[in-house]
Amino acid sequence: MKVKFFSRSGTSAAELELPVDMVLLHGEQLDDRGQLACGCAPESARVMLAYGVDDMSLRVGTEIKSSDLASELLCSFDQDKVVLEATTLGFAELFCATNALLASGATSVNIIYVEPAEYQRASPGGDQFVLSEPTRGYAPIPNAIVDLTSDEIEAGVFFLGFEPERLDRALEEHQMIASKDVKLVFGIPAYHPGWELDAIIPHLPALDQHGLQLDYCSANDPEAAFECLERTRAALGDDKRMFVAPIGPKPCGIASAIFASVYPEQVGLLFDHPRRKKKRSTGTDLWHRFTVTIDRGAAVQSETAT
Amino acid sequence: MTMQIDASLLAKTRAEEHEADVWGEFFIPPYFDQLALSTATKSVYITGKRGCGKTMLLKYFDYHTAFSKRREQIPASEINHVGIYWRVDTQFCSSLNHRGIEEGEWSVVFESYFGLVIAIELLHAVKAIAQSAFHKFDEAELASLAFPSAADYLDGAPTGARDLLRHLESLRRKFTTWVSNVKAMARPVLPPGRHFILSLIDDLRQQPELATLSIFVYVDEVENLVPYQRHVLNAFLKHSQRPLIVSFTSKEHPSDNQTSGPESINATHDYRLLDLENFLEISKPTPFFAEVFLGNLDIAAKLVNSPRLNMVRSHHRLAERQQPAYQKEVIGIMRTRFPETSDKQIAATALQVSTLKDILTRKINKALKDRASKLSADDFLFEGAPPEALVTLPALLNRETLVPQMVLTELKRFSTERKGSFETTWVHNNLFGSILELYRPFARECPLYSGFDTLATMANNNLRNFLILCYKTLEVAYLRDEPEAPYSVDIQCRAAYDASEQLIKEIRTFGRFGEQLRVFVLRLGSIFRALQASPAMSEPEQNQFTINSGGRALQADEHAFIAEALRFGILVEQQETKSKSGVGLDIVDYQLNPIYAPYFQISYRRKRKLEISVEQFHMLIMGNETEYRDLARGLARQLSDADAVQLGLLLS
Repeated sequence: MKVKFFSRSGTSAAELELPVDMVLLHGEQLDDRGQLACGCAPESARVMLAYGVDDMSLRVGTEIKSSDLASELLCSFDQDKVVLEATTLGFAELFCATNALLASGATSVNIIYVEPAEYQRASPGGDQFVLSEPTRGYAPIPNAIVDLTSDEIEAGVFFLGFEPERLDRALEEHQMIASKDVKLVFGIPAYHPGWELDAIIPHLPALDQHGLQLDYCSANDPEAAFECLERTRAALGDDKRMFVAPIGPKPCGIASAIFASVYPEQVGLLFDHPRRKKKRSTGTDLWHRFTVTIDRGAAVQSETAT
Repeated sequence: MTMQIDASLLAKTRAEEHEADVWGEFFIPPYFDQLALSTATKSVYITGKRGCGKTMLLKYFDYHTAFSKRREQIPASEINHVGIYWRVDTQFCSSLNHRGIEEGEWSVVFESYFGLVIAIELLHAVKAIAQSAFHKFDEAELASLAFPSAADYLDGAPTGARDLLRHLESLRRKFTTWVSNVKAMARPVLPPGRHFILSLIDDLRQQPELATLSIFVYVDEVENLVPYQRHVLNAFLKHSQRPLIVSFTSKEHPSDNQTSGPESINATHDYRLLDLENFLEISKPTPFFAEVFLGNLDIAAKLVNSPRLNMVRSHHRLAERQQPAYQKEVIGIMRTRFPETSDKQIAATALQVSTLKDILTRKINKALKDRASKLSADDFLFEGAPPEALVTLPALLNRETLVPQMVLTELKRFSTERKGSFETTWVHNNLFGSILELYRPFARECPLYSGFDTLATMANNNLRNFLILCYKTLEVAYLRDEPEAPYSVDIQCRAAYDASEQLIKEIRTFGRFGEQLRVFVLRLGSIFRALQASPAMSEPEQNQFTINSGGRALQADEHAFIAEALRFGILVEQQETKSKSGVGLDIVDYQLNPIYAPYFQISYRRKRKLEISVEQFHMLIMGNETEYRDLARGLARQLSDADAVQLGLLLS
């Protein structure tokens, strides 16, 4: 298996050179950047995706099925023209779409993502953020389900962001995690200088209490996040598996979705499905287009390129 | 001499942070014999909130500990109770639902999954027994074990223990992969749950050394399973008898008694209900808490065979530990380490601090001015005026019913004769609240939150909360470069604040209402603090509420919220205290868990309550910020605007 990442960044959609006849799979437009990101495709070329946490369903446009059947829901789209709009898609939708496209034989996936100028803080200049509504807790996503009570789950990777309660809750609800080889990954460098501390400082009590390993990867680089995951996968014992909890920056979520899709035998996902708040960010910063190619015939386990 | 301790060991306040094998780390609780788990002939339903010691107890009974390599002698009877502690992964179990598969089919799948998991654990247990000091059964016997019945359920299943274990683990991997991809692959053939486990046990019992083998499965977190899964496990419990007994543990009392068949389970016939908190309360937990703290200190100091540890780890010395003289000694050690200052002494010390004396003087003068009195603070602060009376003056002088001149006369009488209103009621009723109010500007360090007995009261029968209070004290003492006991009052009260703050932060991870519960605690605590700060302090030390009025009954979502708050120990249900309105006998009081008191600088003692209506309660738990502020301002209407702003009830 050879996985390559190609990225193109700019300050507007025009600089990403998106295909003119693309089909944009997107989520809810909650803030400025979400609206602008979706605006890069005409309304007739947009299809909304929504994951149903309670019954593990997926809605594509107006059609709803179990997300186990995501491939059937997406089979009518031309794989080469599909672009996933990761700014608005939640992680579950992003994984379902990526996994369905790759399972249907796609050899590449196009994803766009727009960084915010600023996230909404609890108080002006404060170090706490109001990004999510209260979460419903960790719930499974078909095609990447893990049984954490099993000894076969040997390791885990958490990508962390600004909301320490998400890690706290994972460790509280799934205390068997304490017996795994767990790595916490912070996005460093962050989108903006100084945001690293906004992520690290609120997690200090958990770091202190649980004594977990630390790692870092660039917050806006899925390739770096993918490499970070590969390092953990390479250390797995025979017949062992790992879980990934993408509760941090979306580019790390993109890497997690690809990673879980290409290594379904070894990787499962742990995710808490927060309802993202409206107006959770303001303005836009860099626009990214990530093209991920997967060569299943290659002998090399993975390779990255830009 | 300074005791060198490994602080990381003291950070483990949760059983989950310990290895599966807790041999040498488990302290026999006073109610241990009453549980009678080793000799049980039917299931148990163990309930207890977070931090009551439930998981540690079950880890002690689990085979990892009972047949620990560290255990030097293992009695032959241990084989009659081989425990398997299984905490379910609720997110995995919730994936065994919906997805285009009927519930009936999922029910069969779940039973097989449970059977497979327990069969694997059973084989691991046998391996642990062979590798332990259990003298009748070793690696050679393990190698000679045969499981002829396995192949009756699974084609090609090997008969040897090690090969069968590998086979079942491989099957579990296939099963997990199928669960992840139910539409993309065929379901692997799985063994039926109960019969498969019983057959394996039967095979094992053919070995003379294992002839009395009985398996006790303790399933933790059953309350979070999907209902049909609960019913499957209820059926296991219903049919439990040696050699396979399935028991449950949960934060809450049983609520779903249906089985997957036509029957239901009940506490009389099918299981014994063991409420650990109740056992602990009856057994007077304080000496045990002290033993756990002192024992853990020995472990952290690597004194693994200290006389104390040898005693608290030994089942046979339980009676010795119940002796009054022994308990008095243990508590005495803790009281020396965590000394207490009396309220009277706190008042005296406070008045020696110039900033506090200035605050008191200002408050007295303001009260006198508001009452248009010609007296001044100097008239009250005379030489020999008892500090415990002086501290209560701001509250007394703000009361319309008390004339300042009369208060002064009473003060003089008290200072000379130790008689009068100060002696009979005023100091008794108002000193604690007045000290809290005096120290309010010093938010994090009010000396009332110190002393071993206070720590025990604030912990409210919760071992984990007690240990957090103690360990925080050690942490603050270390940071202040005063690591040796006795710990000063300053250190203790700062630690109490830090512990309280940490535990409030944790609330957001509590179940489906986590963040709502945290906001509720912040709101309720702030209201109690505001009531505490009212100038006349006519109702000091309010830290409970009762819902006893309103235009409607509580709705389902409000009941659900209260149930969740009780389940996580945020509120403590109490029998009704004296009600002002005298309404109803079946009304319940809800006390804010006293562990949160230091954060809000409110009383941890159970004294007075706030009476609110159903509608006000609704605002408290579900209202927006504006609605909450209106409610809080209305309840604390005696508060000045300046104080209301400072306490967050008014926007500046």
